[in-house]
Amino acid sequence: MAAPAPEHRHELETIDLYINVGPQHPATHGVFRMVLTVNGELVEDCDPVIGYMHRGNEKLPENCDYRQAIGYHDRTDYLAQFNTEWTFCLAVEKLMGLEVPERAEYIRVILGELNRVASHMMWVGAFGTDVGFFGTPFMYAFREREVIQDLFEAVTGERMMYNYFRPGGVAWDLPDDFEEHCRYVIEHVRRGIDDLDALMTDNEVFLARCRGLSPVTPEQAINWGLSGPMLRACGVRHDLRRAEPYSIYDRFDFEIPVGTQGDVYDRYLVRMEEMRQSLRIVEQALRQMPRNGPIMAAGLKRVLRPPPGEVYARTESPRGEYGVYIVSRGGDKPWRHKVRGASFCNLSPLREMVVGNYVADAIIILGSIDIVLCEVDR
Amino acid sequence: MIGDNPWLDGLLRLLVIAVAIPVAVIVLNYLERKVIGRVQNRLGPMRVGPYGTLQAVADTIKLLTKEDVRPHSADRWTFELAPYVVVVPSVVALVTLPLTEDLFVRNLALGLFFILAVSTLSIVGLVMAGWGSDNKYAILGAMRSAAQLISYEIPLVMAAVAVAMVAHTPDGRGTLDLVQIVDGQGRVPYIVWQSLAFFIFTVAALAELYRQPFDIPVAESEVVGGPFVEYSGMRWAMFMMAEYVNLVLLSVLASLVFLGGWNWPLGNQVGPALQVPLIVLKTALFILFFFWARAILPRLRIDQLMAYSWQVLLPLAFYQIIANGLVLVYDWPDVVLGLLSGAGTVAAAYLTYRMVRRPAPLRARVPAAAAAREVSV
Amino acid sequence: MSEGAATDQALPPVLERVREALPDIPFQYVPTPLDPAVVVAREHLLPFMTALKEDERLAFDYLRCLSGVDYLDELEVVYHLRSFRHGHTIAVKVRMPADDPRVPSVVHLWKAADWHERETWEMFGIVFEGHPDLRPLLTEEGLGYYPLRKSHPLAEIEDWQENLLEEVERLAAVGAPAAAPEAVDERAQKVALAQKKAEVIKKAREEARAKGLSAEEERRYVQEALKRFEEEAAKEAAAAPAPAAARPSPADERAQKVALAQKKAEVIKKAREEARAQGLSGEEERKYVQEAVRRFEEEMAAAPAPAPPPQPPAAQGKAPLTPAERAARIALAQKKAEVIKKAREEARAKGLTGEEERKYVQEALHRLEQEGEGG
Repeated sequence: MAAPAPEHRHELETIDLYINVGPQHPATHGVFRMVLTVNGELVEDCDPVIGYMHRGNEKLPENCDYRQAIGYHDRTDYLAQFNTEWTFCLAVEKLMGLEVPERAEYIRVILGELNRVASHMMWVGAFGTDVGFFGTPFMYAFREREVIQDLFEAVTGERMMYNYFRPGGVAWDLPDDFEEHCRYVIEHVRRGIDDLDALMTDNEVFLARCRGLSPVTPEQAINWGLSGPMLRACGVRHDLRRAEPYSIYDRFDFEIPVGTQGDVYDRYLVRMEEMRQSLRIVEQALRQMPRNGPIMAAGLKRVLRPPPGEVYARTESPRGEYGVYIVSRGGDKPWRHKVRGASFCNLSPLREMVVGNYVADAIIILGSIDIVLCEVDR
Repeated sequence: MIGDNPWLDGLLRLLVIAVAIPVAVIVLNYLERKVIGRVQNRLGPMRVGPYGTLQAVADTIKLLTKEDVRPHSADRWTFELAPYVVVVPSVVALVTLPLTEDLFVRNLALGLFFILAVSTLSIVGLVMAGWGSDNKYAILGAMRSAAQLISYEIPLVMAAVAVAMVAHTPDGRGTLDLVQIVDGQGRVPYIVWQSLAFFIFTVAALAELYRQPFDIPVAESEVVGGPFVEYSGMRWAMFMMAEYVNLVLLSVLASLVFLGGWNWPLGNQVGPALQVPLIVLKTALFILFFFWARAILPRLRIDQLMAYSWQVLLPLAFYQIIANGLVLVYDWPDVVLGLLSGAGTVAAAYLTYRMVRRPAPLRARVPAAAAAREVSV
Repeated sequence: MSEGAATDQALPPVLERVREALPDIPFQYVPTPLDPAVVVAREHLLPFMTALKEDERLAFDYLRCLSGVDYLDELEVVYHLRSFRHGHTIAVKVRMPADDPRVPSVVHLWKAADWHERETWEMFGIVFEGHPDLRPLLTEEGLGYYPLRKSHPLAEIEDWQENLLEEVERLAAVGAPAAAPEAVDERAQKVALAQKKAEVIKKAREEARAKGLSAEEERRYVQEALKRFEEEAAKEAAAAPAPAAARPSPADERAQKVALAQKKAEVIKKAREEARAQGLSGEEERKYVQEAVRRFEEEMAAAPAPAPPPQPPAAQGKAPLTPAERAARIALAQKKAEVIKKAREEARAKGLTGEEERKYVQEALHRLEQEGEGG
């Protein structure tokens, strides 16, 4: 018997709209493409397309010796360079069993934490612009970043791409007025964080946009491989500096801010508080740092040859867990050099996070992940 | 009346307006950039001219000399006429806006109604711009802007009408003549008696100017310019001009209707030398408030925006009109007006606060179509 | 080909638990500095991973990293896992032969594996069976080769470089650089080979595109072209004569070039001084210097090109300096620097500036040289 004729023969036919939040777009924080399938204002599907910044950062160090490869890590996460260099140096040190001198460890901690503050500042500024501020948080944040970058320039000579950490220590010692300069920076940045706080945290419109947007449960977060502030905003109190302490982090007293719902607003709160905690760590480190001492492990040859073995070293970078997996076969170059970028893992569940929200919110969610495309694509 | 000839008089006054508009636009553009720059802890334009005063002139020259790009598949006449349809109504509305008792082009007995009605026509221009551009983003932006502007036009008009209802005139109460409205504010400006209407008017004006927090039409995906995305050069400049003219229009209107115009507190007799600065000062207060709001507030999403207009502003506007009606019918003193309106303002503040603090509803997670892609091993 | 040898050391507690939970699945323990690593056979991988995730004692709920490694005749996938409940970590390694790169996917266990597996597939060619959407992540479709495999051209140069470094050190220890030209020729050969390979790939891709092949077919086409090229190259290498040592070694060439440049610099300096002594300035001085350089170059061209000595460069001044000579030169340079510094200070103390200061310093240097020659 023939099937009955379909009832809604003259129903209105609607087509889904494909919006290409294309590679060239001011709001995507880099060269990133999202193909959104949109029904009116609701996003029904999202296909992230990456790879526009792929430069072979995993293949090229196979042709470099262990000190040359540090520059590649600078360019992987270009907002948290000290943290990425640190991870790589950690990997080589673990392979070779090197002992890093005290003063060098303290220098690394101070610079790494200040870099975390600078990176979060950049995120707050860019995120504010995404949410619709006309540039006010951006200007406030960059004022603080300039102050921190001045300090970095005094230490390393560079505003970015510092290339300062080495396996076994750091390349050269700090300038003489570093402590004063650093205290000035801490004061300035503290006030800057308060300014940003006053502008954004209780801002009603900001709350209305970000509260309750795309919440993520802790189980989902762990299964998706999130790390860093994304994971902590969901309520998982996991920070590599406490959970798997590296370097001298067990000597410092700091708190780990944790959110409740895992939504965009919680991620913002977690990052703001992390900035304050980082400044606490820097102050403690300045007090405890030995006034002089060696800054490089003794007895290192001109060409480093780690013994055969492999190691997966990881640190808590501002974006999450930045990992470097090195396989060495005894030569002066790594046999396999793999970079586990935090943004790569934080970005992969984008589809699950964006689908079901409005188009304007898709941009905000993307902004709240804090991606650095060079880390995603390497 | 200049020269006792209505034609000459009208022409000269129109000329003044025609000259004043570009000057006002240039000054306001510069001021906006300076004020917002200061809020953002930076200096704003400083290089072109002393303290950057010639910056807007330089920008105008640049815009005039830009190539006029028209998308190939654009609907020609819709695309080309849209800027005019947006600018002309605002300029026409300026024609009946009085600055003092004698400083206007033509004052109509229906002044308020005329201004509000005519300035609404620009919405058509925006939709023309969006449709004529043949660009997905532009169409989305045009739809959003049409929705927003129409939704906020209603509370705006109703707030103004509420004040017009109870405006004191020599022949009783209620007038649409702006000069009479200002005259009636000799002792107390209407903001005291009609604070709710003032609140609604200001918020709706922010939305009409599509400024933060209501600028979702022009910030489609956060910088791509909404209905203006395919315009360049002078056409785009005309849209910007329309925005600043609207800004002046609404600010002057607000100071006339609510703050007492040139009348309060100096009175009607002091002469234009003191009255013009007074009204400029009041207008400047509003303009600075709009600049300030732009600098510090992010933008609302379109559904939040619409919800606010239809669920908060409109009912409160109705309430204001009903309260005013009751006062008129029962002939209560003005204090009652003030009290009722004050209560309404408190309610408005409370409702706004609740609306933004309410946790957002959890929307559905991965829908069924996507779930089909899950792997089962 | 494993870099860290499997040991029979005492198992860390994590692996004790694994052994308890999975008594039937054998694994090899490989100690690494931070995480205990285990090597598991490919057919046991899926039950192993499932138990790692779901067993209460193990509870590895977090996949942190998934990498592929190319060990030339084997490929390996390494999974780094962490347990939030217990806090322990583990690294699971699974090997597969290079001509059969398949491994079960773990996307259904950890969603984090999604993009990692896509990337490992496109970089190494390891097929993850069961992955819902195995398409390239970072590179374009239809690339035709797997970039991170060692067989991709960069690998040849890497290999050679490692060999050359060992070679150079060996020669330095022995002190007989005679074998250097051979290695150099091999280098040139390998570089040329790699370049030719790259060209073959490029041409094959263009042809495939011209023919309008789809992504899969294009890849196969390119791989066939590569195979043909390698066969030819193997045949050629067998038939080719031993590389002649006729090419001058780059070390010699470079030393030659350096000497030439130094002579040129001297000529320029002398010409400039003469010009200034004659009172020329600006344009004229420049022309004078250019003439001198031209004359110098004609002389050089006319003179017979010095043949690169096939014998070990232990003769003549191109010899690598012995430590004693080097020390002597360093000492001389240091003394010169000291003299210059002292002379400058004295000149400034006397109030001389510019030209006069320079002349003073030059006189001091001159005196030093005379002392050196005389002493």
